[in-house]
Amino acid sequence: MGLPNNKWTMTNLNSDYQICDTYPNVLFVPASVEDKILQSSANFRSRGRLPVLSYLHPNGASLTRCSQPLSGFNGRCDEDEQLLQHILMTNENSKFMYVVDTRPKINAMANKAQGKGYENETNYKNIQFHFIGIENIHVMRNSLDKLVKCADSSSNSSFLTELEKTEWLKHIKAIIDTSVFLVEAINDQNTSVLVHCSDGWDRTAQTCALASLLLDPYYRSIHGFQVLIEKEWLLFGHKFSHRCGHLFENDKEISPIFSQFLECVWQLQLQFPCAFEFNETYLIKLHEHVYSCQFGTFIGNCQKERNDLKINELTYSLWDYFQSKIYDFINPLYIPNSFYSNSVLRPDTRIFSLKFWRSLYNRFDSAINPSEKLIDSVSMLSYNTSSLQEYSKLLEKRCAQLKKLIQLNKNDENVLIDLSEDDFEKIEISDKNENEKKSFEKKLTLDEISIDFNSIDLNWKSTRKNCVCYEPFDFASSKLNCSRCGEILCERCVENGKYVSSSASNKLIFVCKNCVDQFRL
Amino acid sequence: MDFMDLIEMPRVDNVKVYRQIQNYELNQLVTQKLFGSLNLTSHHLIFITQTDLQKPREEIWIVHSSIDSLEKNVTEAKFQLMIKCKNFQIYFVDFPTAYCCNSIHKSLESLSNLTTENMKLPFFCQTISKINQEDWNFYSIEKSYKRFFPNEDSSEWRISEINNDFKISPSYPKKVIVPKNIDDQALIKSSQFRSMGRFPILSYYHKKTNSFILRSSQPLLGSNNKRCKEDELILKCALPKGKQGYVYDLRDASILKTAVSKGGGYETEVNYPLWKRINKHMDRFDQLHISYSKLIDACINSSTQFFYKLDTSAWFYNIRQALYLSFLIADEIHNKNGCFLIHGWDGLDNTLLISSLAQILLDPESRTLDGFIDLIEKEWLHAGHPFSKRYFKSAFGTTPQKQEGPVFVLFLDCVRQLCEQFCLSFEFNEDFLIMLFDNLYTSEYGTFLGNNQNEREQLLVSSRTVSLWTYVKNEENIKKFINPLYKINDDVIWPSIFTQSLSLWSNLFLRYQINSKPSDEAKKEIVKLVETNLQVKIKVEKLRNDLLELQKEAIDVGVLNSENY
Repeated sequence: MGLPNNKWTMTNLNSDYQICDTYPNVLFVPASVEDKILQSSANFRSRGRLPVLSYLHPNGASLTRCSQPLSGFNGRCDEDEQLLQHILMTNENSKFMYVVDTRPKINAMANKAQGKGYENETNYKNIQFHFIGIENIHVMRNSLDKLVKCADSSSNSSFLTELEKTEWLKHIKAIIDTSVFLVEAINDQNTSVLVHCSDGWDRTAQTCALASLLLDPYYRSIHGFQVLIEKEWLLFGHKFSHRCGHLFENDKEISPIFSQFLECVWQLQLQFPCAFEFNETYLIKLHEHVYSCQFGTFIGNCQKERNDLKINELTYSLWDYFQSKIYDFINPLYIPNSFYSNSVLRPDTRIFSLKFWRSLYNRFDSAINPSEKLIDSVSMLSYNTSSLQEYSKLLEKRCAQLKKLIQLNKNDENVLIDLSEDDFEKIEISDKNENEKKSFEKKLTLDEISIDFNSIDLNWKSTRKNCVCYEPFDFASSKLNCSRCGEILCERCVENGKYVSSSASNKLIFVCKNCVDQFRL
Repeated sequence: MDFMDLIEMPRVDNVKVYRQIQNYELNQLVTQKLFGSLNLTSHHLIFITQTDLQKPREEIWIVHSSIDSLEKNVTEAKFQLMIKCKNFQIYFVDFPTAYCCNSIHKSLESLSNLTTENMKLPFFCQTISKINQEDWNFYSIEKSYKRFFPNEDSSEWRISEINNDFKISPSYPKKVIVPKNIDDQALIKSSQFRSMGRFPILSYYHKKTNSFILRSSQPLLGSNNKRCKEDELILKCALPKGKQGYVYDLRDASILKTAVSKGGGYETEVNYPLWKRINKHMDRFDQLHISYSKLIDACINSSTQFFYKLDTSAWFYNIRQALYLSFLIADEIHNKNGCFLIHGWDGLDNTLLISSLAQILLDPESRTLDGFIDLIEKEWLHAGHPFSKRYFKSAFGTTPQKQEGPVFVLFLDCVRQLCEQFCLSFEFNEDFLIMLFDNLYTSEYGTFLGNNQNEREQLLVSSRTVSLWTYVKNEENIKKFINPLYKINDDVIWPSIFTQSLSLWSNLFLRYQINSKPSDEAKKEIVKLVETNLQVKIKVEKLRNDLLELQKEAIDVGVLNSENY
């Protein structure tokens, strides 16, 4: 985002989490604003979550986030009002800014009675205030309960009616619609937006993260998506431990807020199959590990808690694990330079364009999922192509070597060819320098050529087949072909295989354990 | 009657046409307003925009027979016609005067409801491509026979030409496959005992297990419980030892009495002791038409309660039921010892749906492009599915006779569900199915004209019109219809029939509402990946050969150590 710049600066005001314990220790705020104002604004906001920068658009419009003001019926805070003016001033392209309260109005009114509430438009200059009704965590929790039951019911003759009753897709629609509102404000109207809900860590996280994803292609890459989750969810204090129920504490705190975000991303993947670098499996596995607690990444409710728990020292990171299995997560249809990949995504949120996420909610019901998975075969195809491309380089090299050998032989009877990594260059040199020929020690033998010859199987087994171990696949489990024998391996058997980097371009090529000794590329 | 009698005003100027088009960049529908003139010809409504320096001239061609319903909205200030097409496209046309609005409305009402087959578009379209007899004769019963029984001598079945003049059964083809030891006289007797003369004939023979599917219409028991020895004999002779026969009656058991009282009936167990009767309900074509209308209504007016509306349309119920029943049949035939006779009332609709779906599950051949065309010819066109009646109107329209019912559309949707669940096992793609849908309702080709072979022959369809398969088999076109990922699957396919496993056919039913560009992009990318893969494979093969050659040469000149061998 090119930060800090002359409009936005980094502040260390929260370096010890003294202003806000659920925010990160580093915050971006308007450069023109004094610490005193920030301090007072934090005091006026629920849990000290003052307005800070989430995303800065190249056109100058910003996306900022915070929690609800402690305004009650007529409370106001001069500094908070000033802070908003400073945010507004960072963007020269618009005379006003939006303040979006993602709650239904009635919920916000109810909060007023508790001394909280929303911004009074008459107190804040040049703001346009909007309510957008995304329901609260309790409604979402109940909706998910219904959805899971609905997906589970064996007698699902009225599945669609049941699905309607869960209202789940209506909630998904509300989240995407809100994000689209943010996108249109920022991208189309060049206007900054401040987003909040109650505490600014659920609905706010959902919509800010999704809006960033829609606005910026970077967040649709594997790396960018990880950055997005780190930023909007982990750093800004989405309460993963509470919302996912990692510890048995309070049932009322559990809610599928992050799951909904993943589902929104999935809906986008469905609508724009070439716009994302990562695939559906990535989302499903992410969903799994947000709950599994196998990795430390999603443990704790905020950065401070994770620091206190020494998560970094004591646990493994999910991202490292994902990196090691990156092949499972690449969308083979990703076209980085296509129109939809390169531009702002404008999803279709009409209800018929939103789908039930079968492969997540019925992931383990093999009878429900398609028998042949399109994306698996496409992945296999693109992986097969890249293996064969590496292989053809090897073959080209061997052919060239043999040619040289035959040619050299005409000049000198006793040439031996070295087979070390850079042998190709050595032959080149040897051509010029007769003496160096003598230094070749290893022979190019028939055996070697035969290994080369069988390094890659041309006709891989179809993804229709099971793994050699006959373990059935669940819908999200990955399949991989051994490059050499072409057999299909399941996720577990993959552990027995090995990624070998090819000599031509260091691309990783997978082989099973039976083939690993016979394989060279 | 002449077309010109129906056209009062061949041209109206100063007309506004509104239609919704997709803005690909904003990914949303926008209403396009066009200004120009309307021209009425014998088969087309042609709208041409006014020449404008800024915009290129645009033309909209609407074939009369593609118009499903017309709604006139004439008030003091507005003279509007809403044109709903059979392919779900909707146009609004504003006329300058009430008079032209009424006149065009009247003409279009007549022109879009022509029942005379001879006046239909295919008879005026021979110029688009040459009539190719080979394509008209693409399918023959002999071809099926050879596939079912590669060795004719050992077969228990024969081809009978009893219906050569369409006298025994007007809706049957000339030739049918029947049990070998049943003579033609018995067939005549049986045909008199079956509604519309549709006696039991062979539909599919499963070589792997020697089980089969027969189909017919209901027997005409009537209230005095008639029976027909010859009919009983056909079923008895057909069934080999060790097989269990099932009569699959696609009507609910509760309505059999009504059927009997109307002169129809069912196979009683006393008279057909080897055959077990199973009653399974399928909605009839007229009910299906209502379901279809509700489905399309949900898709077009879907602001609230979309899923509920989908559910109550019962379209998914019908898909599930069709797939489920064919699944049961395939299971019996392939895994157990069952043989089947399928019928409902006349054996013209659901019977064909179930027997053709069962074949798609059982027979890998029917999942290829050619095999699928054969299946459509055999199980629908030759079997006498009344195409002309059933597809006279689509989701927006009805006729007083209420003969329409989108059974074949349901069939296409079922096949698409299978294509989605088995994305590698079908040689043709979704676009092929959509193309069939489009030609079903209105077509420049003669394939779906008439209600049976008899009618098609009387109309001289094969010498006066071009076959749809001529279009399909054109080199340029066929590319569009091939699934790039197809790999032959010799197994029986077992579909999933949970509602979660089924999907709404968005590319058809929502075709004018959703932006298909992103998914087209993905389809193209798949084709590209397949091509690249093929290229690199060819390259590798060549390099391997080069390497072998060089190796040989190296050994010959003695530079390559071969002592290990």
